[in-house]
Amino acid sequence: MGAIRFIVKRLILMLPILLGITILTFFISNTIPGDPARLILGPKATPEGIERLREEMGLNDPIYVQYGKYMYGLVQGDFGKSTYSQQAVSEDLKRYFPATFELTLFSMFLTVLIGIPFGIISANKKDKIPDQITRFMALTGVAMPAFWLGIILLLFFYLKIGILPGGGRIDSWVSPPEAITGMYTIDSLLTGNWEALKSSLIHLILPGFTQAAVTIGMITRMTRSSMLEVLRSDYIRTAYAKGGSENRVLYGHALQNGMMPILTLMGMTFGHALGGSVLVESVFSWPGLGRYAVNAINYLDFPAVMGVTILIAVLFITVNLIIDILYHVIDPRLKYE
Amino acid sequence: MPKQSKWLKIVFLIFMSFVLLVGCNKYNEETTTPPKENEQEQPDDDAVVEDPGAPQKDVFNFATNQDIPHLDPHGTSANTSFRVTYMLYDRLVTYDGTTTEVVPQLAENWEISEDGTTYTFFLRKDAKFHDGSPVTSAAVEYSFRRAIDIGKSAAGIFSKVIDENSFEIVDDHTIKIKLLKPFGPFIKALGTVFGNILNPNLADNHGEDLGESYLADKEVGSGPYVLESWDRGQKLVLKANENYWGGTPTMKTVNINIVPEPSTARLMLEKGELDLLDDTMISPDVIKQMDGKNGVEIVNAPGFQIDYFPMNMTQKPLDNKLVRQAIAHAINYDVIIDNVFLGNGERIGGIVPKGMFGYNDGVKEYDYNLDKAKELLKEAGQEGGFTVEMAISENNEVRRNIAVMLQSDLAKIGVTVDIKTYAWPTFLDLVTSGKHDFGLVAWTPDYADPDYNLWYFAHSSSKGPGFNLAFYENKRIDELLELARKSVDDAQRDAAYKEIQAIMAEDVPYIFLAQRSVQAAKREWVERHEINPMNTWYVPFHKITKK
Repeated sequence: MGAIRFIVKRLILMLPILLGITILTFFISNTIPGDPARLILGPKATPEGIERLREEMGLNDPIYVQYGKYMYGLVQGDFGKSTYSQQAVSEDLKRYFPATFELTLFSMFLTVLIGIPFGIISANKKDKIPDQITRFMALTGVAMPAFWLGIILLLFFYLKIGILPGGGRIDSWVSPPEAITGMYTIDSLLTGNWEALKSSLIHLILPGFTQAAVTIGMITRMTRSSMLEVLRSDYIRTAYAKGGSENRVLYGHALQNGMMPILTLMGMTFGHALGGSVLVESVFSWPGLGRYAVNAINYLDFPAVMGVTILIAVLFITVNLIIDILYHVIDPRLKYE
Repeated sequence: MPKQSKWLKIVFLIFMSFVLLVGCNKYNEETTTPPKENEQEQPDDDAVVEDPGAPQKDVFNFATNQDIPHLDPHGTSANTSFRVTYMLYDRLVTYDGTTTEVVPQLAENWEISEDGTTYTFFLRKDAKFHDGSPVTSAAVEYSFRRAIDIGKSAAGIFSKVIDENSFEIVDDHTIKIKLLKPFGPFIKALGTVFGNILNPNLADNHGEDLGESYLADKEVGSGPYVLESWDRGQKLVLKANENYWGGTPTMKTVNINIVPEPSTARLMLEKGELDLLDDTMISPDVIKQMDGKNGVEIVNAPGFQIDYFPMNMTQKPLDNKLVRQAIAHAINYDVIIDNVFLGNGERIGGIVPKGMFGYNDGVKEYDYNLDKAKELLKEAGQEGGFTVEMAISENNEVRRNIAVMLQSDLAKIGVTVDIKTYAWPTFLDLVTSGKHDFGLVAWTPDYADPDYNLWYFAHSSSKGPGFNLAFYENKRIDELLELARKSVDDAQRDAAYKEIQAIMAEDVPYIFLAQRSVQAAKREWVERHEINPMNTWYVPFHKITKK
């Protein structure tokens, strides 16, 4: 019962946080000097045309009235219409978000798959050769700018040896799978479209790896330090003394206890990646939320900016909630409060 | 079972499956636009990779780094949208090939009344919209009325001279348009993207917004291409209109790819996956490196783009003509043209580009002369120098380089230039509200008439938001502009425009740095690609061929 009460309480707490976020975003984005009407109409517009559009868009209302109108729509589930694309913001989000979500999931998958084992090996063989190698890799991953790494990977795998595509989500001659979740890999699995699955997986490799390079490095280092601490504890010595094999002790006893900080870090990086890595998305022509958000800001497309912010905030809070629940799964001693 | 080896096995398995996946791909071929869309659907996926070696002769791959916002021809002011709507719609007249004079399109010919206010258009009878309905006079009236009612980019040009009562339908293929007042460049304005003719059955889908939401991702045109699909942020596909009255387009499929990162686009072009890049995408120094390598060719063509900066005449000491003249003398134009534009541009004395009607080749050009500049400053009582701010918008390497060169040039006469970089919305707000000193900009006209450039730059009613960014005012110029706009006598207009350019050269509200030529990176196999000096975003996909 404790768990359910905990979740409900957290969900209720989400509301004031979200309200705060809408206020902050709305007022901050409105302080950016510039006129959305002018940007829509372009430099060659007439002053009368601009004035007319301002009136139409409600830009001449005092800012708190504009905010009130926006919130009135929002509570009814209306995110407004993007001034840039002329589409409902909710439609735009539906279009761009799955691409980002798919890329993020994939890069997190790579992160866990590579980062945690590397960290454990590194801790177990502290200051020996394997530790030095993983340390070198982790630091390189963190230090390399995503933009640069992406271009170098493209140069090599796309231009020189030519086994991976140059960008986009799917090959131009493959039609995307029927949209269910909007994530090409999942949709093609669900519809049994193997060609699309293959094509979309291949397209994920380079951007996924580029985005994961930093997080792999971070998770490796975090796993290492967390494990080092755990490995020094008495119960590990006891486990070894009882004759537990190295693997059993490391993965069975130590990892579970060393998992907490790793989880925290994963939650943070996941939330961060969801905001869309603009650089990775740009290099690999990935039509994700990051680029949509940048475009929205460049055109002072306030409804779109708000939509993206709210979506990211909700996800961030949700991810944090999931992480909190996972804490309890991993460490049953914790009580729900 | 030891867990570590299990981990390793999983990692290995996943790695191998990637290798497998990757192994059956052929991204190393010269091109990867395997056949498909041009004939029918090919369900057999083996056929898809059958012949990836040869370039597809009737599929064109174009890339731009600017996203396409929407496709309403009357509502957008984005060049990337123009490129698409030019192909989807026809206009009464159009700009074709490299000419900047209009040629007939939907209108076979036209008559202009003596007083220059009544235009009679005779439409061709074989033109049809994509739904098969004929293009009639009613469509013409509908289109222009919608343009005005929407009140966005297209209205900016037309609402000055026509209103809802301007149209008289003589018969299905003859229409009279009566102007509110004579407007010399009217016919030229009809050739712009804003003069696109829409299918009047759009009214059935109007909704409350005159069809703006509907047209955002659909089209109701009669042009050489129909809209096949649009994956926002990724790719827009145009399909040849086989029944086009002007002949079947050469390229059956045109993919307009959004490749936000120029370096990536460059790689794709070098690999042969793209045929042509947006000409604004790649900076001059990178273009130079690409030329003649990996099957890439750089095309150079004359352009009407002029790079300039306004000197805000409401700010002291820029309100003093002598100071502005001194600045004009202190700039080493040739070095900027050689080092920033890498020679792809030439000096220009005014805002009317070389090659356009009304260009005055005799205007005073200020030479690089520091002594003269210092003398003028002294005469103006500013020999001690002063500080000005140069605003530039971010993400533009060329402008940044120009700004740095101007800074060092002007330092030599004691003028300190602070370079301030702003995001585009802020930049636009700053310069149109007159809070700037200098601001680096570039300008390309929408139609090839001096009225267009000069009215924006020099008429007192255009100050600020109208893009007279120098806040320049000269009674004589206002008079001449109004006179020339009313006149249909080309000789009289020509004389007026030349006089305006001469006055502006003396008053120096703006510094014109160079008239740039257009450079586009394409594959060597692309032929019959013509660049219009004014409309660089008019890419004639329907005429291009591939070797």
